[in-house]
Formats: sequence, C-alpha cells, structure tokens
Amino acid sequence: MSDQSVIEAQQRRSSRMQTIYRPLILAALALFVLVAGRLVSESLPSWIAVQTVLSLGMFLAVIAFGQGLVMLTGGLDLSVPGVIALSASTVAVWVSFMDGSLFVGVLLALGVSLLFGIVNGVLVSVLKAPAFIVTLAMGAVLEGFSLFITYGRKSPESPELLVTLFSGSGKLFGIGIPALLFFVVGIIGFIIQARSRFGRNVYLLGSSLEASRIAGQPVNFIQISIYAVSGFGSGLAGLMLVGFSGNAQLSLGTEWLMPSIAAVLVGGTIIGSGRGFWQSTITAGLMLTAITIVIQSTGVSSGWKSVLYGVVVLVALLSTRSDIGRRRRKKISQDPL
Amino acid sequence: MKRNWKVAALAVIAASSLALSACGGSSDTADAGADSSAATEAGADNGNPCGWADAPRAGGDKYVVYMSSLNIGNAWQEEAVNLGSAEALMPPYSDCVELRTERTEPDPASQISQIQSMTAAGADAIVTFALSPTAINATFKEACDAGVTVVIYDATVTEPCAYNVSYITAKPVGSDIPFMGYNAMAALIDMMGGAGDIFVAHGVAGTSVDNVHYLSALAAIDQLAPDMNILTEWDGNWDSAQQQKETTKALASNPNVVGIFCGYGESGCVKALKAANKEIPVTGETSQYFREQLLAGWPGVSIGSPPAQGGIAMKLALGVLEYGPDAGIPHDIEVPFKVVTKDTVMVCEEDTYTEGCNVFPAGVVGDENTADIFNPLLPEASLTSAKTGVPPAGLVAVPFTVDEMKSFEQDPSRRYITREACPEGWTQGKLPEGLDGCVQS
Amino acid sequence: MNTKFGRIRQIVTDGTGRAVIFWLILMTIWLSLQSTQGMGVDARLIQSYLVLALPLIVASIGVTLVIIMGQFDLSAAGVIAVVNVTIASTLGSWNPLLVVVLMMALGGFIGLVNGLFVILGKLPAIAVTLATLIILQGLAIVILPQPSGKVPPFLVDGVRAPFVAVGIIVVIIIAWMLFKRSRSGLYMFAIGADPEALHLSGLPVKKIQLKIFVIAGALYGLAGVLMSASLTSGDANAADSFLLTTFAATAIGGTAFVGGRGSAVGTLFGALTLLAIPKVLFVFGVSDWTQKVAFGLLVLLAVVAGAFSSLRKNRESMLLAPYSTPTEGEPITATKGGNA
Repeated sequence: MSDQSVIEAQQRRSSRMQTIYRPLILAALALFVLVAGRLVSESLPSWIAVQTVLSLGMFLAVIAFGQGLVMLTGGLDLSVPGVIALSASTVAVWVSFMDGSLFVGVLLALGVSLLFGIVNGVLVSVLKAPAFIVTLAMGAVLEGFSLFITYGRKSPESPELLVTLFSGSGKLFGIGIPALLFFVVGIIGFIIQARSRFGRNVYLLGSSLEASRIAGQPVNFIQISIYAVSGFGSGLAGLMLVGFSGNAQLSLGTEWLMPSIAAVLVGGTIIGSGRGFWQSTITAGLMLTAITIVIQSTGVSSGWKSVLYGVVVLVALLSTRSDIGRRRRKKISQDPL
Repeated sequence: MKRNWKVAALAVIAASSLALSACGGSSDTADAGADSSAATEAGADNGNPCGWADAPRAGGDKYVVYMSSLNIGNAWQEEAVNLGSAEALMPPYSDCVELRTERTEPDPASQISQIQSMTAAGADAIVTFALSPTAINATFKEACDAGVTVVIYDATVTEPCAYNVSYITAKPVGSDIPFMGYNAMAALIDMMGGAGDIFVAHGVAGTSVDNVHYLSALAAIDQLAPDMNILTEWDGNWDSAQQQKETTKALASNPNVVGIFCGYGESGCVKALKAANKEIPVTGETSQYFREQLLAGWPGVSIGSPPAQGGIAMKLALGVLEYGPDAGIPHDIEVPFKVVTKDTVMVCEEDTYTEGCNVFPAGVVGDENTADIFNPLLPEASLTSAKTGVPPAGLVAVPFTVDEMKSFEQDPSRRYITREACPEGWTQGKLPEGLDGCVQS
Repeated sequence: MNTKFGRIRQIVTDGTGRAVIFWLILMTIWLSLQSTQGMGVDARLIQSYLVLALPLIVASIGVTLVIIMGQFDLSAAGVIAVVNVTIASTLGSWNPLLVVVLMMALGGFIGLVNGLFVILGKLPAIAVTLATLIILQGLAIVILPQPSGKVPPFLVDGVRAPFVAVGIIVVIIIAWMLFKRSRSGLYMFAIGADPEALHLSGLPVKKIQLKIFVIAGALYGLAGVLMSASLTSGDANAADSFLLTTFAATAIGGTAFVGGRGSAVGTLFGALTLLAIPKVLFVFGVSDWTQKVAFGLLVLLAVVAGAFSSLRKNRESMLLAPYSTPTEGEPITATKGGNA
C-alpha cells in the first residue's frame, strides 16, 4: 500500500518536473545566456536582445509546434522548408501579380499548406510509409511547385501588411509585434496541446498506437490531422517569414528546419513516445535562439561557432534530461514480474 | 531462409549484369561512331556547322551546348543562366548551336553525375557554375579528354583544362586595385571616415570564393584602417533571408555598430537596419533593392558579382568551338565589375545596354534582380534575355575575336588564387593586397 | 508457397526484392534511352555511376544497421566530412591502406562517442547524433576552411579501376549475408524488435548497441574515404547531402523505421536507385523546376510502392499473431529514455 503511494508521489513529481520545472529551467537558462553574453559584448544584456530572442523565437515556435506534434507520434516533418516556400510564394504571387486581395491570398496559402499536410498524413498513416522519407520527398515536390509559381517572374514582393506585422518595423507599445506574438503563439499552442481533446488524443496515440486502437480512437484520422496541423503551421510560418523578409524565396524556410527539430528535442520530447510538452519546446527554442545570438558575437570563426553550438546542445540535453529513467528502473526492480 | 538467398541471388545477378553490360556496352548511334580523336582533326574539314573548327561530337548538324546553373531559385543564378541561354539563341549562333539548359543541385556529387550525363549526351561545350574549385576536377578532365569544352563562370576551378571566366580577381571599372573584397572594404572605410566598429558577413563558409573576398577585405583593413574593429561576423550564405536574420541578431548584441560589410544578400542587411531604425553605411553586392536605396540616399557602396558572367562564359565557349582549342584563347578570363555609390547610381531606361546605367526603374524587376546583367563584355545583353532566357527579336550576338579574348586574360600575378598554381616563369609569392599570388621568378 | 506465382509474390512483397526490381526498371529506362542519344552507352558511363554511388551505399548501410537496432543516427554526414578534410589536408601522401584503417577507426571512435552518450547518458539517439553532426560539420570547416588538398593517388585511381566498384558491391552483399546470420547480427535484429524482452533475458544489450554504433561509425569512415577518392580533394561542405540521402536510401531499400527488420542489400539498391533517378530525369530532358517535382515524386513512388505491399503483409500477419512484435507505424520503442 505504501509502495503504491510512494510510486504515485514519484510520478507526480516527475510530471511536475516535466510540465513546470523544466520549462522554467529552460527560460532561466535563456536569460542566463543573455546575461553571460556580457562577456563577449558590452551591450549585452539589453531589451533589444530580449526582443530579438522573442521575435525569432516566435517564428521558431510556430514551426516547432507542428514538428513537436509529429515527433510525439514518432515521425519527422521534413517538408517544412517546402511548405514555407510554397505558402510564401502563393501569397506573394497572388497579391503582386494577380492583383488579388491579401485576405484571399492568405486563405490560398494556408489552404495549400493544409492540403499537402493532409497528403503527408495520408501517406504516413494509411499507406504506412515512413514519415521521414515521405515528408522529405514531398518537400522537394513543393519546392518545385514554388519555383514554378515564381518562374520567369521577378521574385514577388510581400504584401504590405505582412511586412509591417512581421519585419519588426511595426510596433505596439514600442515593442516589435513579433515579440508580442510570441506569447500569443505560446498560449494558443498550450491550449491546443494540453487542454484540447485533440491534444489528448495525440498524446495517447504517441504513447501507444495499440492502446489508442483498442480504445476505439480513429487512429488514422488523428494521424492525418497531426500532419495537417504541421503543414498548416508551416504555412503560417511562411506567411510570417514572407512578411519578415519582404519577398518570397525558395530558401525562406531552409534555415528553420533543423532548429525546429532541435528545439523539440532539447525541450525534452522523446520521439515517438507521446512524452513532450509545449512549454518546454518553446522555452528550449528561446534558449537556443539566445545561444546563437551570443555565439555569433564571440568572434570565433564559423567552424568553431558550429562546434560551440553543438556542444551547448549536448550540455543542454544532458542537464535537462528527465529522470524518468532512474525512476522507471526502480519501478521495474520493485515490481515483481 | 530460402527466400533470402533468392533475393541475394537476384541482387548478385543484378550486380553482375551491370559488370557484363559495362564490358560489352556499345553505342547505337551511327553518327557517333567516330570517337573523339576524329572530332579534333585540325580544321581542314569545312563541312562543319558554321564552318567552325571541329565537327560536333555527336555527329549532328548543330553543336550541342549545355548552359547550367544552380537549382536554388536564386535570382542571380537565374539571370546568369538566362543570359547564357539567350546568347546561344541569337544569330549568328542560332544557326549552328543546339542549346540545352540544365539546373544542378547544390551538391558536388550531383554535379559530377550531371557532367557525366552531359558528356554522354554528346555535349560539345558545357558552361556551368562549379560547386567546388577542386571536387569536380576529375570529371571535368574526363569531359575535356572526351573533347568537351568546359567553361566555368563566377566560382573558378583549379582544373587546367577548364576555362575560368570570373570577376573574382578582376579590377572593378575605374580602380587600379583588384579584388571585390578589397575595394568594397576600402569604400566602406572611406564612408566611415577611416575608423569605427563594423560587422562582417561571410558568404558560404568553406568556399574559396568567400575566402578571397574575406581575405582581401581584411587586407584592406590592415592597410587602410588598422584601428577599425570587427565586432562580429556571421555566415550570410549569400542569401538575403539569412542575412536579415543574422543582422537582426548582431544588432541585438551590438546596437552601436557603425558600418556593415554585407556582401551578397545585402537587401537583408538593409531591411534589418531599417527595422532597427539605423541608417549606417553598408557595402553590398548588386541587388536592385540596394541600388534603389542608394538612389534614395542610403549611404553605401554596391559592388559585386555580375551575372553577365553567364553570357560572357557562353560567348567564350562558342568562341573556342569556333576557333578551336588550339587558337590560343586564354583559359583564365577576368570580367570587370562595377562600383556604384549614391553619386554614380544611374537608372537604366532601356531594355538593352546603356553605358553607365546600373539600376532599373522601380517595379520593373524584383528586389534580388540586378542591373549588372549589363557589362562591357556583353553589350548584347537585354532585360528580356535575363528574365526569360530568350533574346528579343532582332538582337544579334557580338562574338569575341581571338585577340579580344586574349586581352581579357587574367593577370598572371593573380593566377595562383584561382588555379593554385603559377604559370611558367612565375613562382608563388605575396601580392601587394596581402594575398598569396605569383611573382615573376 | 511453391507455386511460380507464389515465388514471384515472395520477391515482390519482400522489401529488398522490391528495391532491386525498382532499380532494375530505372536502369533499363536510363540505359535504353541513353543508348539512342548522344554518345550512347559505354563502360565508363556505368562505371562512373557506380563509383559515385559507393560512398552513399556504404554510409547508408551504416545508418540501416542503427535503424534495424531501433535507434537513430544523424551523424553520418559529419563523420564523412571530417574524414574527407582530414585526408585531403594531411594524409594525402600517406600509405593508402593505413589511411583506410585510420579513417575507419576515426569513424568508429565517433560512433563510440555517440553510443556512450545514448546508452550511458540515456539521451535519445536522434538528439545526440544531431548534436554530434553539428559539431563534426563545424570541425570540418575548422580543419579545411577552403576546399583544397589531395587524396592518396592509389585510392583515386584504385576506385576507378575496372570492376573495382562492382567488386566492392559484391563484397558488401556477401558481407551482409554473413553478418546477419552472425551472433551480432541476430542480436541487432532482436534488440530492434523487442529491447525490453532481451534486457530481461540477460543479454548484454548495452554492449551490443554500443557495438552497432561503432560499426556504423566505421562504415561512415569508409564512406568518407570513398568520397575522398571520388572527389580527389577535400571540401568541408561536400558531405552535407548525406544527412538525408542515407535515410532516403534506407527507406527506399525497404527497411522499416520501427526497428527489428531491414536489409543492407535493400539499402544498397536504394542508394543505387536514388542516384539513378537524376540520370533517368536527365535523359528525359527534365530540368528546372520540374526536376525537383519529378525527383520527389519518383522517391515517393519508390517508397509508397514498398508500403503497399507491406500493408497487405501486415494484415496477414495481424491475423496470425495479434500480439507479435511491432507492426509498421508503431513508434520507435527503443529510444524511450530509461531502456537498457
């Protein structure tokens, strides 16, 4: 009897660790990094630095949301750069060349992203093809389509409104809009992942496919919707990034793929296990962004910058790894089998 | 398990059938029966298309010429390949040249595979952007040995049989000092009054082009403003979205910077500066966006790689086909490039070349396009050609003469930089600009 | 299953068999079109295609081994880059055999480091190997900031000598046939299928996992040597594409990403397929934007065609044994923290 309560207490502690302590630790690390940046630059830490971390972290968060959901269920979404490019090209071409309205352009871009997310989902869940390669190949196809849409035309310009919103020139209360949006994205993401039925289904699916099936969940439908959400998220990111950089290029999304995966991993999501929390993912994203800012100022050559970044990621992984391992082993040895 | 052995057997059969077909492979094209040595008979055979030096390798009635660039959707790459394509489609070339365009994925192994495919497809000339100065060499050599004329534009290669057409070691128009990096940094120093804190952006780390720009820029700092302080550096990857992100980050940690050495993708640097409300001197390459900013008064210098190199390289390739590989056409060509400041910025009103113009009217081209499709060595360039790859009706090519091509030859003192070897009678030494070069022995 | 159709069905439903068939179809298309165009088909064309494929084949097999074991390894591209720049910058005039051994040892060492972080550090393999990839790619640029250097001529010429490439391929096939029946090989499959059960049955699971990481690392080292011989020089960025292509080759070859199943021979033909696709697109005259679309679609076709057959096989096996080891689509169980 007391064994049972000890185990329950352990479980409560470990889940509190995951949902509250870990994101707090990561956020604190992000701040710490900025403060430690004083060593390399006299202008650190500063409000501008904090704003930049939040702004760039916001873009990262939007992409990492879908990526995190996919990784919870054991997949990877490598089509992110392709969807971003297609979404960006669609809205930019629609508004610049077809003289369409921004509203319709946005709908088109998001619709197209959602559509290909669904295609990914169907291929992965119904046909049971490996997510890695399906999304990789789909990404190549979408890049091709983006090239087609912009083919022979000057690279289309972004709609004014998007530029104002996302390039950092538009400000609310003196703070750049993307930085404020970070919190909006965080809250919405939390509601979806942790407080909605959809989120609960995703977690159940991630932790055990069989259990979900036995429980009567429409497993295929949930999986497809996961990839659809990821596609939608990438499409949204594409709209934001096209606002940020002012024109639609193929390369818009390529620099965000690996960081999105890194943020999910450093945030403690165990791929394919149904274990992972949104709060940890976005704070990990903040920390990684802060790190890249500080590393950039160190003045070492670019090779060493990568080495430094990789080492930091390893250290972050080691120091924030969940202690579930230790407790589970104790559990195994306590339970007679 | 029996089934596994069956599969293994199938696999081994497949592998051996490859070996066997390699053994007995034969060519089916009747005309291509002649091997490459026949094609290089000294010019007596005037049954050649256009009366050019050697017969086409694949035996057809037109020379097969490939024009290739990188498949990354980058405006510069598109303009370069379009200018080269348009060149081959203009009279008098259109009578005897069959143009084929290709795109290469940004991976050396992919490019190697593609060059091999082009050679096997009967190419007489390949004009391409090289992904690495050394990694493709063996394949280029194989192509040369098979009788293909290989011409590389912009980023150079060290393979001696390939022709390099590049601005990398050239002098800009109106300057006595070579190297884009040096000139750009010197201009930045000038604008900043000789001292201050700057950011320096690299292109793609680990490439030789990036190294030349960077080292020559450092040399300018050493010689002209030793007190200047580089606050931070980053890899811009020659991509404006990346540059914008990196500049934003750098401004976060060093908001008091006074100048940026930005390089390609400079529109990203400027946009980041605008978002931070900072108008400081920037040196960038040739984009329309940047030059429009210069027109509006932004302090800066625009100096960079002209995509006209694509068209110029094509002209060289066709010239080699016309006069033959033994006509003395130099293997290293330097292409001049422009320096544009807010004082020298001038709008191009026409579709075709106008002396001195360096920016298009607003809205005519996209942010990342450039007016450096116009170059003294490519007077037949036009905006239509650069956009579509097809020349406007009535435009005629202006072929090089052999003497002209000889006059564009790279200065031997700078040969070391692109070829990692010095010509006869020269040995490795230091150049006045601080880089390793060749000195007469 | 002794009827003629039964046997054909066996080959078609087997991942490896399908990979071979798909590749044969592509080769037929390529070579028959090529023989009527340009200079036709000759020995050198096929030879160069094979030589170029060798590094990808070897590296992909390393990745396949790790995946069969139920783990992940993203570091292949990093190892290859470091090996390539090391050879080109300092080992260019060394004894070629020594170079091969040293570089495989270097790769094996990096694999060991990966394995230790995963097994002792209890970190997810995908995260660890992502970090080591970034570190290695950075190191490569530090070692060789600008492409240059030379590779031992014996290796350069040797790999291009007639039949060497084919010979290496045959050796690989035979080596796999032996390995998968060896104790290490059987354990590798078993761990991938059900790590918990093995742990409880007393097998040295950790040691075996470590061993597989080391072997994979050594294979990446060998791939690095082969790539250096292909490129004849060093270039810190040249190996970047291996990150994704090694996994693509594994998937096309029919290896499931859930662990416990797979074949290096399938991966070999998956790699050959991946490199044959651009050849086929070229002779069809596909270029510019359609290139990317066609490439993606063909890869999808290669993989989905495989998935269709596995689907049917799945349903059959589920009828027979509902509690059997993981079916397709189930998450990678072996990467949970806390196992073995």
